[in-house]
Amino acid sequence: MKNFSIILKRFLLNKGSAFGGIFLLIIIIGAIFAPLIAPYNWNEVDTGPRLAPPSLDFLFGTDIHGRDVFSRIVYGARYSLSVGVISVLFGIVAGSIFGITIAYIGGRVDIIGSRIIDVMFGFPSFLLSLLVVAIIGVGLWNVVFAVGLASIPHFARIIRSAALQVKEQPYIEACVNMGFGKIRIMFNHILPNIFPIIIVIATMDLGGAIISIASLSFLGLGAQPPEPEWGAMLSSGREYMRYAPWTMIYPGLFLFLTVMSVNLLGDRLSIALDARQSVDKGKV
Amino acid sequence: MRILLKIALGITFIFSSLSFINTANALDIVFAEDRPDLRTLDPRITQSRHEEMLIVNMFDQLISADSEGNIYPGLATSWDVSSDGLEYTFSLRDDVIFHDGTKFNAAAVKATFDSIVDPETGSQGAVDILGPYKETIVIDDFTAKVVFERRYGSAITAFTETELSIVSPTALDKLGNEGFGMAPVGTGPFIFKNWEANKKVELVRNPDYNWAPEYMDGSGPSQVANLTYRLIKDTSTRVAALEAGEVDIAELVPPLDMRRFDSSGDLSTVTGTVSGLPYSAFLNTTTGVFQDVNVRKAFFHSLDRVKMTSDLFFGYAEAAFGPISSSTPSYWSGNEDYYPYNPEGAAALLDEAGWEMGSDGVREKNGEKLTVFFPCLLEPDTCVAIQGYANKVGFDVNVEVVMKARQDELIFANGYDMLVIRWVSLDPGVLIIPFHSRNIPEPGKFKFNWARYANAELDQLLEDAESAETQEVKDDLYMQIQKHIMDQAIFLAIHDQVQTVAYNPDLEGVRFANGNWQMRMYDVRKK
Amino acid sequence: MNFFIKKLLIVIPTLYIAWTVVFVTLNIIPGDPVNLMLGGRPASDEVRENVRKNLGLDKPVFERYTSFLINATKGDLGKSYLTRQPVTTMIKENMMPTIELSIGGLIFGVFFGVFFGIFAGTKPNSMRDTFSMIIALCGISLPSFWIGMMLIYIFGTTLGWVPIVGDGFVSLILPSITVGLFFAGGMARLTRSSLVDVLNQDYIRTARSKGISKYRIVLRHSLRNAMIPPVTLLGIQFGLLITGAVITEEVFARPGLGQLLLQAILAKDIPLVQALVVYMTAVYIFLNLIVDFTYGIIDPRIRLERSRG
Repeated sequence: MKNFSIILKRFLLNKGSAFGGIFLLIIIIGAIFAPLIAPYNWNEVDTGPRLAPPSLDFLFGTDIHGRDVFSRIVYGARYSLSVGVISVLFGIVAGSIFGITIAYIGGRVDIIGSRIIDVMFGFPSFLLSLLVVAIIGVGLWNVVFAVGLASIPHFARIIRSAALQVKEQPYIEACVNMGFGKIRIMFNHILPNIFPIIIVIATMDLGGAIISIASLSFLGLGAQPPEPEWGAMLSSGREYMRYAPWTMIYPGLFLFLTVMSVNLLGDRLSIALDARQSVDKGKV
Repeated sequence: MRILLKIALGITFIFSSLSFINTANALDIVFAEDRPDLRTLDPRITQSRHEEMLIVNMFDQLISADSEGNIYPGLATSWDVSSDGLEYTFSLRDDVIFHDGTKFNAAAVKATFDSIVDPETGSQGAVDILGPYKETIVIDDFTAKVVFERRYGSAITAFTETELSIVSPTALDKLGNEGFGMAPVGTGPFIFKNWEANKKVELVRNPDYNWAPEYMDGSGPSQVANLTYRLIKDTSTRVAALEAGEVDIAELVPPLDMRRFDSSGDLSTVTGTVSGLPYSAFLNTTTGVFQDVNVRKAFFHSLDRVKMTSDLFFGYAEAAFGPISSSTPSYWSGNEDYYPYNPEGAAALLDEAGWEMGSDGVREKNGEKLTVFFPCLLEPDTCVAIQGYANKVGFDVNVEVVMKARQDELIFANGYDMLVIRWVSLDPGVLIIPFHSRNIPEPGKFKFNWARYANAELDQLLEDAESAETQEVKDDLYMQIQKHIMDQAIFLAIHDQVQTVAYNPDLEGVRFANGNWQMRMYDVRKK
Repeated sequence: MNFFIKKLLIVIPTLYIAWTVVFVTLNIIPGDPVNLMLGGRPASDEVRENVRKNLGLDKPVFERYTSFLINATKGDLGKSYLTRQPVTTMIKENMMPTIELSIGGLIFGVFFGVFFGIFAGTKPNSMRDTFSMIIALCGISLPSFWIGMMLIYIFGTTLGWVPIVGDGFVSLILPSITVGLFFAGGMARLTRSSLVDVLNQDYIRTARSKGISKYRIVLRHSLRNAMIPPVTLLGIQFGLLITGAVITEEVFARPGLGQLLLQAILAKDIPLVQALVVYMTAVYIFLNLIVDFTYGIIDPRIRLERSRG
């Protein structure tokens, strides 16, 4: 508990992570209470003049269909944030199961498993996502799956080596001697020990996942109209860039600030983790 | 001395004027074409207007037509039609040579048309345009007789179409169907030179060209020495390149940019209203919610096509109402009385059909939602606008922006509720392609009756219209056909297709080919 | 030498398995290649059978697999369904613009990354450190398609300083920035942290206590060691250059391998996708190999440790 308060203190005292935390909080609250915050329905056409510049009525202007860009961005936060989190969750759960399993069983399983990870690393991850989309088809959830899948080798490699370290500890040996089942040891005893690492790498990966999904949507492979996903909004605003730059400036700005906030949190979390490790080591 | 000086001056003058002629004669024109994924430049095979954009400048047809559809002698100097309407006898020019140096003659006409109907060729467009073709008889070197199985009312128009361009049989033998599509050989004002996939196609002027149709301003070889088609998919890049002077002529310029150029006068513009099928949506009659004709009618009534079109095109295109555009011959103005914007009427029709408004704004019937799957290949913004309107009366329209490969798959699998199409055509005869029941697609058989509408009466009308004896009969039959299609609400016209072109104001002679989509570059010259 | 040979030997199975994965996955894609090859044109059953033979699809899967592998090592990867050109020709035609773009992005990334990394790392926790790291953070957080469009909007459309299309060097500037920004950010952060680590080590402290000037220490002693992690990054970042190529070429409407890949995927042009993936994985793996060798050269100790481990 004492450790925790130290970490929390370090975390909050830092300007960067404070900014990131507050901005993310705003975005999350905005996404949850979107119907209350957004002045218009995200999909309602002709709420005002088409391609109208930002004004008090239309904070971020309107698009070619006369839809309010601000309202679309607020609703879009639901998509952009949740798809990022879900894809990372998928990647990290699969990566953890894979990594912990091969590390714990060891021997030939570990060698083969590691080889599989190496081979997956042979594909640049974006290429892997593109390939997966080519196979399963276009769509927002397909892209979420593809990006999550492509992140598995990265997660699996880190978690495997973390699990290997934990496995060596006398505590786990004791569990084995007490006759606990393999699954129980892996997920009740090893997993909690590497959980902080999992949280940190997941956070650090989240920003990248959000950008990847938005990029694929921008390329027309992900979110479909009229979904207000930020990448897709940018893609459709592109054609009117010259006459209505606000249709591409604001969705991109929010995407950027969100990713930056996530990255700030990730940075701080990893520093905090280092700190915890040093605190732990000091105790031992 | 003076005389000498005069002579010297004279010579200088002559030379300078010669060099002036030389530069005027050696224009290099870069045309920005929007599709990078050209597959073939073989007129017999293509069905793509984008491929025809280039083809139209490399080939000639037996009969030539200007952008208004007026006909002139082309490769044929004259033609006779037999009294039963089955035989067309063409007297051919005897001074025409193909780009490969071989002579154009009646045998070339026969080879071209025979190969179009040969299934091995895999013709997509020409085979339909050639209609009930039976055979070509070579009467002598420069007389060819084309024989049809039955009367073919659209024959004269058909012979003016780019798809029925005459190709070099020698080149065809040498290159094969595939090779010919990659390096076409015709008789046109420009010769194929080079094709860099996804990037550009280069043509050079045909120095022997001396058979321009009489409606052209020029004669002899074109003043354009090098004609380059740069394939620039991105609209804003195309416009930017035009403004930067990197290209001279750009097609499919967005309406907002057209408006800007028109008010500033920095660039010249020309807009063509394309004849044929307007930008329209087929409603699938064999699966999903559109099996019910009342649901189809409700969908029609939900759209304010006039407002939608003016909102999206800023006055550069008009709303369309019938299965063929108003600029197509035999257009029936009765189309305009159908399905006006009427959301209350749409709601009433849906209520009557048993679709009741759900709490989420989507109608339901027996637990089933009023959902429409709408793969959208063309104009995503128009698809979104359609979706927005239909949504207001309780349709849940799922738009998926698709590429051709995905759309082909969905067509084979009958996996869609609506699909958009547009088609450049000079003749109402085009209607047989999307509405005859023999043209319903099957797995592996790509056809265009995407409404999958099969009706013996309509089939008969379409066949009769094809062989109508007089213009009055033809107009009447096409009126009945249009009425049938409108009554059944299977084909939802949205707006006229427009080809918006902007070009360097120093140029003149930029003209549309028949149909108002492709550009004939032969007459382009400096002002 | 042992180390290099061992590394080389790992490459072959990795490539083999990667290519096998590509073959298998692309052969389970739904859709009949014959339809794609015919481009949706109507065709008689005879024609379809001919096409099938032409594509070699009448042979059993295993035979196709072995001939794919054999041809792939020979550099013959078949013909595109859509353009019917040999895919290797198409790749060659589109290679140069992508290489130019990658080099441009790499130069931008390395230059600004190392610059800000040293700028920050030589004086940790100062104002300039914070400033540099905020810039680096922006670099890794900016979506490249957005920044690309913003650059076009600001410098192309509004200011008119750079041509938007064209082939020259000037037209390479904005795309290079777009590709290189993420890379620069990552490079700066890594250079900084590794420089801070090295500067805290005993031998550097000793050197400083001997009165050797700080710049000399940074340039002559610490930089070499501090550059090991950033050099590793170079290899990993090649994957990002592929991402960058796909997106940047799309945003700037430049031809190149990224565009080719995207179009091939959208059009389900399987031989082309297959060839591009084979090609890109090979380049990726070999570049990583070169990186491994490079740091074997920078720091001979790694060679020993690695060959032991």
